[in-house]
Amino acid sequence: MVARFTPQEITAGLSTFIAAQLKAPAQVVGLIQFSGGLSWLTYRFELITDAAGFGGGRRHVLRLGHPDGPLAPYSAEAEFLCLQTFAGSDVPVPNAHWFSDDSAIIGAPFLICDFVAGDAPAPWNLAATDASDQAKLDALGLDFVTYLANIHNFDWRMSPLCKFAIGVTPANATLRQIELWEDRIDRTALQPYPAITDATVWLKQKCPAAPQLSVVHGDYRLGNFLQRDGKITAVLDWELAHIGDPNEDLGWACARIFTPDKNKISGLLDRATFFENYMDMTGRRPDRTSIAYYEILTVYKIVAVNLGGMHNFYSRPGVNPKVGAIANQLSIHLRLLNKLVREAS
Amino acid sequence: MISLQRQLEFVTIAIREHIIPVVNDDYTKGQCVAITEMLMDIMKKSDWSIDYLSRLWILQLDTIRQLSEAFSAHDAALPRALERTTEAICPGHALKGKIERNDKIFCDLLQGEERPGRKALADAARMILRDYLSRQTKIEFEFSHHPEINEIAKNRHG
Repeated sequence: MVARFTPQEITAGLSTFIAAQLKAPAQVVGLIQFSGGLSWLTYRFELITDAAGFGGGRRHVLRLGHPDGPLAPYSAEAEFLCLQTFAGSDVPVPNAHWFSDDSAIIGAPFLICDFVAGDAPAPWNLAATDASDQAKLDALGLDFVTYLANIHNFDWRMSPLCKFAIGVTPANATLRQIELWEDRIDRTALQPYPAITDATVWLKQKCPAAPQLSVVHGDYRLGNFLQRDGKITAVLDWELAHIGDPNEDLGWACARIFTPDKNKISGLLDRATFFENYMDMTGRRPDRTSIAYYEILTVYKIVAVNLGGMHNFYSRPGVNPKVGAIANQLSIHLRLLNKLVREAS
Repeated sequence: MISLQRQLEFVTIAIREHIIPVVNDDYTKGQCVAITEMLMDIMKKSDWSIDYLSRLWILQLDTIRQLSEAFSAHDAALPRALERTTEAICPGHALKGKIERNDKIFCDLLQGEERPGRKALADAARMILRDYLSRQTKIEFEFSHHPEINEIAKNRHG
């Protein structure tokens, strides 16, 4: 059955849920959907309540993992724990209040956090944001590398995120990621893809050991942070976060498929400046061989995302056509994956 | 395999369920319905492009020939299930099925465990299949429409 989310149903379900959490009457009002991705629908709303810290015109955000999204079924837990863990740290994140993976409440897993002002520049609209002049882009680039370094420097061992580290070692961290994504591919591919099999074999054979175990954001790139006036106001989209090799985030951030300017990381910083700053902030020299490896793993994961979208669109009639159309990037990414594996072999 | 008819059917349903209900004027709504009706007509007459399939099929036959020679040179037998023949008139969906079955066997060869003394054969097969993958992904790229993500991604509601 295809999921539909009406504002009325979300408002009713969310009001009941929040009232139960606050142990006080609460009414969701003014629910508005933002622009955003296909995986997580994002809404802004206000609450009418007497509970301290919530009423009085404060704005909140609902993130809802759409069951038709390319990586469905979703869980809000990883993102919620990351937002909780990094709250008040040197990585700016929205203040998170609650989450639930129980689809009975509003039809899908969700989390609720505070609204943070700012716009989310994407590869295709960077020039149109209020950070479009060079000084602001440079400042944004510095924030971009600073917050990535801070994520990797964060001591997660006494935090709630240690639950994601069970069984993870420097030797197996990346192999576990490959196996996770290979499993997604096996579950969703609608036909055999020998180019993916070849890439899977290569990635497993060349899998590097992690120099240390860090929090890995998992989707650190242009489009996944908010900015205002050249400053990052919040790092978003933590749903792929895990404990692993910090070079994995560097490979993802460097991936050329995410940048409007091939010479700049996420369209913001040239590679040399990015790596110099990162090394100054972490004390670790970025391993270029590992980063090149993780750039290939990034494309592998994007291929898996395309396959997931294609699977969901063609498995049930009536799925959002954007899910199917975006999945049609598969031939581009499959060709790139094959080219990168051949060049690296 | 998803048949081409199924793909067209799902596109039609997506227009009917996601777009038509939110079109406010009856004239435009009628135009949208007209488009879905035309798609339904195309659906009844369509099959996979012969140009697309024949290029993939010829590439596979060439790859299978190379693999056959490599296996013979190492006194080994090529997987029997590899498809090498078609009927005189082979419907597109049937040929697509053969191509996908061969691709599944190529997958098995690529991930197969090396047997003792067979490293040279595994290396030779991998080299042949790598060449196949390079050419196959190029054909798939040429026969795919590449979506305008920046246009599709605009989706402000409310």
